[in-house]
Amino acid sequence: MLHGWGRSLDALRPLGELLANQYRVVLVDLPGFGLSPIPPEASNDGGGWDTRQYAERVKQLLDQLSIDSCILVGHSFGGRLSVQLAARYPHLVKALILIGSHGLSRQRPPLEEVRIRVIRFLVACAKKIDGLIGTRLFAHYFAPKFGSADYKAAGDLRKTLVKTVNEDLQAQARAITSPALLLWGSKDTATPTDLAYKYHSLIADSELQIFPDKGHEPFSDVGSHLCATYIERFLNKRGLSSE
Amino acid sequence: MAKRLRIAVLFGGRSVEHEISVISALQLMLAIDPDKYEVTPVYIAPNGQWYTGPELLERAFYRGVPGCLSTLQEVTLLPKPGIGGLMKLGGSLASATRAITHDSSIIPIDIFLPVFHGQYGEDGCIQGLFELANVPYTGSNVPSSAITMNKYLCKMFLKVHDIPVLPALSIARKDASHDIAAVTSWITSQEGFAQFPLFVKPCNLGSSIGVTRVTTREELPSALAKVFKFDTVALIEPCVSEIMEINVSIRDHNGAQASVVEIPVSQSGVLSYEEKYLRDGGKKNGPSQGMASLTRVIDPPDLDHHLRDQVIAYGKKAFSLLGCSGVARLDFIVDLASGKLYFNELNAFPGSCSFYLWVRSQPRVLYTQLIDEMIETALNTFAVNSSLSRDIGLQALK
Repeated sequence: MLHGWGRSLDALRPLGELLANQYRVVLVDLPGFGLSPIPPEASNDGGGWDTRQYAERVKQLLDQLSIDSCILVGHSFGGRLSVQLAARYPHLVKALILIGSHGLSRQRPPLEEVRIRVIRFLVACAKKIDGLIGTRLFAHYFAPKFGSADYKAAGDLRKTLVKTVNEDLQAQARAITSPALLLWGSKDTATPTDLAYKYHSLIADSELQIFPDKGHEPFSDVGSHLCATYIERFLNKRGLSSE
Repeated sequence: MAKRLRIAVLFGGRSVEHEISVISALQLMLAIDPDKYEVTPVYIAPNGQWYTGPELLERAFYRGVPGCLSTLQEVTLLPKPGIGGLMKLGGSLASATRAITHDSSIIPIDIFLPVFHGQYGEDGCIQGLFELANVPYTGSNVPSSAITMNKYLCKMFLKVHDIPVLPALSIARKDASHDIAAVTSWITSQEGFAQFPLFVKPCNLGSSIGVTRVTTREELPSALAKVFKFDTVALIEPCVSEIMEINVSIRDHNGAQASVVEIPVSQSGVLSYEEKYLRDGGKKNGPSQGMASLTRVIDPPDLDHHLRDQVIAYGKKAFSLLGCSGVARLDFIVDLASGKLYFNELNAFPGSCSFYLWVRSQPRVLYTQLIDEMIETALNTFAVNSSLSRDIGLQALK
């Protein structure tokens, strides 16, 4: 089970504990989160990791645990990594559960699109000016004003964040052959439901479930029971129950 | 998608456990399967008015009560069979009542799911309204809810059926206000009640509200006065000095099923309302999760198996004898000095619906499934009741 950006394995623990009734559950603190340190190459000085490097690290962990076949549950950023992993190692991933997953570029509403383009243009200008005359316009003005909460809090993982956020895993999603269950909250603002529909159209064998009135973490609190119900139902239907 | 059942989840109510009901209902609505059910939340405000609206799904909304209630749709359930749902109220009650025939004034509901703790919601009152309206509802029916809410009647009933209970006295407020000295003397003259400490508690309330541990005869009047702020009947019980509580949840799904047992951990010898629901002020570990957040040991492996089996056997027996339905929690106490087990009380709708016990039981039951099965049972019960003959034609008036 792979958690979202800025979180740790604790975020998925309640859901993991419920699934552990039927399955052997491995909760992971992804490198740079929870108790896992930032690998030097994933740090800002190291240039940052992309999802491929993260996926390879997860693969390495699975090898260390002698797991040659698994069901991947990925939330948000963890979903992005799960998509990458499932596309790279189709025989490794028996099924994929994506919950409010990132990884695809999306069509923004026109006004938001214009705003983003203007900011990107201004950021490029600021960086240019900073480079030419030694000002710190980007660091002192643009990043604090326009950077996302994740960006501001990313610290030594900022380059990794930028790299992974800018990846569009459309080709990888299309390459996935494993059955996939997509669980989304209708009120998810971090990964709006248009991403869910896009994944649903890209992943050949996928089922989509949108939970009304739930947000980006539909598994939080007692919602874990609902998510576990859907996950177990899906896996049982696909002949992937533990018995 | 198959047609979804339209379900009204009712909560809040005119009870001291109003807030706990809100927490239990919010939890339940997080776990309910949206593929199977279309949920209409119905909040009964402390003044007894009924409201519905999507805002009721947000925990933060309740901080604005009562001011924010004006944004909601006021509704009611009329005790008239065949209406098919909740009636929207707007303007005067009279004009709304006239509007019954218009479909737009009805919110269609297939089944009612009451999530109340305490008076008017767990004691048979609202169940009576459901019966009159002839609508399916989850949980225990009128007589079961009523008798389980009255701790004295419940104990006396189970005692007759050989379930061990502690001795208990019941004191009516009108008797105490007539002559408190005589009542005090009468209490202490009863067998087993001459020794202190004694527990004085409201007869019809849960959540440990109004409970006093009385150590001298002189403290009895004030303890009774405290009870009579909340209830018209007080219950007096001997105080077991070395006590351990053991709770079990029982539900009726293909017969009475028992969950694992739990031992609530008390810091002061008796579980106060604060300990049950507001430990750490309800703030330290985020918002209170009601009964699901209580410090407890679930299914302790070192618990005497005979004791555990007795709790389960008495629990199933009491649940069945009382005619309960849905999910209940039965609380027992063990006198550690004598090793004797006693039934203490039955919660017809326990805090958090005891889901935290079922998820640890074998076979494990997720909260989503627990709700499914409560609804299934309620629909079966309704079908059986509907098949009963109620019309024998004119005979006496012929």
